[in-house]
Amino acid sequence: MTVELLHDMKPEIAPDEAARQRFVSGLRSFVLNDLAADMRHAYESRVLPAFRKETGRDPVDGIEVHRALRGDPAFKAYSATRVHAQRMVWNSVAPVALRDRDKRRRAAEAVAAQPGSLSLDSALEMPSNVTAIDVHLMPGSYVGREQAEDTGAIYDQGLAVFSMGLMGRNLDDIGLSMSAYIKARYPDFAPACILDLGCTIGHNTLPWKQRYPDAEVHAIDVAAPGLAYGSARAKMQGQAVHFHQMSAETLGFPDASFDLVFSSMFLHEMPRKTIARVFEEARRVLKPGGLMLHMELPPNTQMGAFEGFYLDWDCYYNAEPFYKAFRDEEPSELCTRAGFAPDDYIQFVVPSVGAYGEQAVADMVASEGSRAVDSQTTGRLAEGVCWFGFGSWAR
Amino acid sequence: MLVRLRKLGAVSEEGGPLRPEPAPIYGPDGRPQFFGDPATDRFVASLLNLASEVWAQEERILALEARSSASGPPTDRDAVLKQFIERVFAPLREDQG
Ligand SMILES: C[S@@+](CC[C@H](N)C(=O)[O-])C[C@H]1O[C@@H](n2cnc3c(N)ncnc32)[C@H](O)[C@@H]1O
Repeated sequence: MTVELLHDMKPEIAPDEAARQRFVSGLRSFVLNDLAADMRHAYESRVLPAFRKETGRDPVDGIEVHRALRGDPAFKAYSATRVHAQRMVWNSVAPVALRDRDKRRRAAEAVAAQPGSLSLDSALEMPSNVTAIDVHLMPGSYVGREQAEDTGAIYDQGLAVFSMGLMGRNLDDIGLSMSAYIKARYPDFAPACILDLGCTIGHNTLPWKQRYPDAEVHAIDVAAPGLAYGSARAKMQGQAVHFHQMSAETLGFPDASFDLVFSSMFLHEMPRKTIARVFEEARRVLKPGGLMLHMELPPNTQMGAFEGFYLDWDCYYNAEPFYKAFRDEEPSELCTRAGFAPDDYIQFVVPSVGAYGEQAVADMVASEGSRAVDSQTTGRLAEGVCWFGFGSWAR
Repeated sequence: MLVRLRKLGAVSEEGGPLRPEPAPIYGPDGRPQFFGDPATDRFVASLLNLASEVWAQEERILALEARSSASGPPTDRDAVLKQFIERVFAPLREDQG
């Protein structure tokens, strides 16, 4: 199932194009549900017994699972199909975004005067984690090449195909689920100033403005095309958000200026040194009593070897070179290394609001529970997805 | 058949030897390589593209048929697509049906 964009930059799609997009969405669903289940079965029934026979023990980590599985036909079927399906996502939207450029420009101009803002910095030095690779095989990465101007649209439309409906009708399920959890779990926390790091097109920024309508919401990213698109997109959806081209390593905000510093799916795309600086900056701009919160892939330290391998697959095959190193970190240590107190650390797994409803989040909080990190749906874009969050309060 | 092949030692039993890794992780073109010959990986990509084009034709036919029939287009196109994908890619499944 592909998602229809809910704003005025929604493209006009020819029937053949729509059919190709539907196909790749359906193909991804087949890969991530059926072929993934087969691969797990093959692991348990063939590979694990063979590994045990050869070594007298179980694999200790994802690397060993990967090595043992690579020769198995179920691994090859899953992987070869998934890699090309990923390319097909972008191939299915890029021509549409190019053709639709003028219409999109007009739609953006029509809302230019709406509340919210965009400030770009053409002198900003772009980090190589964004420019040197086509992140998740997206041609031109977040900055684009020939189609730089279309990059925001390609990302939005690509995500609509890629997500198979599992990231929400407005592609905002992560933001909706995270903010639902925070609001239910900490009802007295009323952030007046919110910052989203690495927002791309702001799709997971907007839910924070919806959840806390009185808050001033800022969103930053290094990549200009997504910010320009995201700013228009937010205005079209009636959300006043301030977008800035800025690096999360050197934030242009004063000390103690935010109550909540959020990011989603951000840290796993950068080197560990950068993550350390980002955390230090987050701590600097947080007010005492503020919260740093990251939605991310769950860590290897808290899950089994097969699950670890399954999530780290992207590091090898989906142009996500920093993925595994990030997942090998202990999230609480990332926080304490940046100067947050160990007692102020939080982490949780929240059910997707889109899949389970807001009530499921409220019920989970009321029962003082959290879903298991080591579950088959945590961080996996398959039916019944749950999201992992961690962070720390600032003193 | 499978039993006979197993007796001949041509097919590994459960807990049989680990299969050797098929290839280096990346082929000479720098792209992921899953099969012994990197050309095979390219054929997989072509096959998937072809299936996508066949589905696009299928949607065209469904639209044309809907025009000339009283019952209109199929109510659940996603379900029709799911069946299409399951049919075409059945050989990739462990239980090939
Ligand atoms: C996977 S996207 C995040 C998507 C989005 N937050 C979401 O919820 O889906 C990662 C983003 O981080 C941005 N980025 C990478 N390094 C950055 C840095 N040092 N400072 C700010 N943004 C950065 C990239 O340009 C990209 O838009």
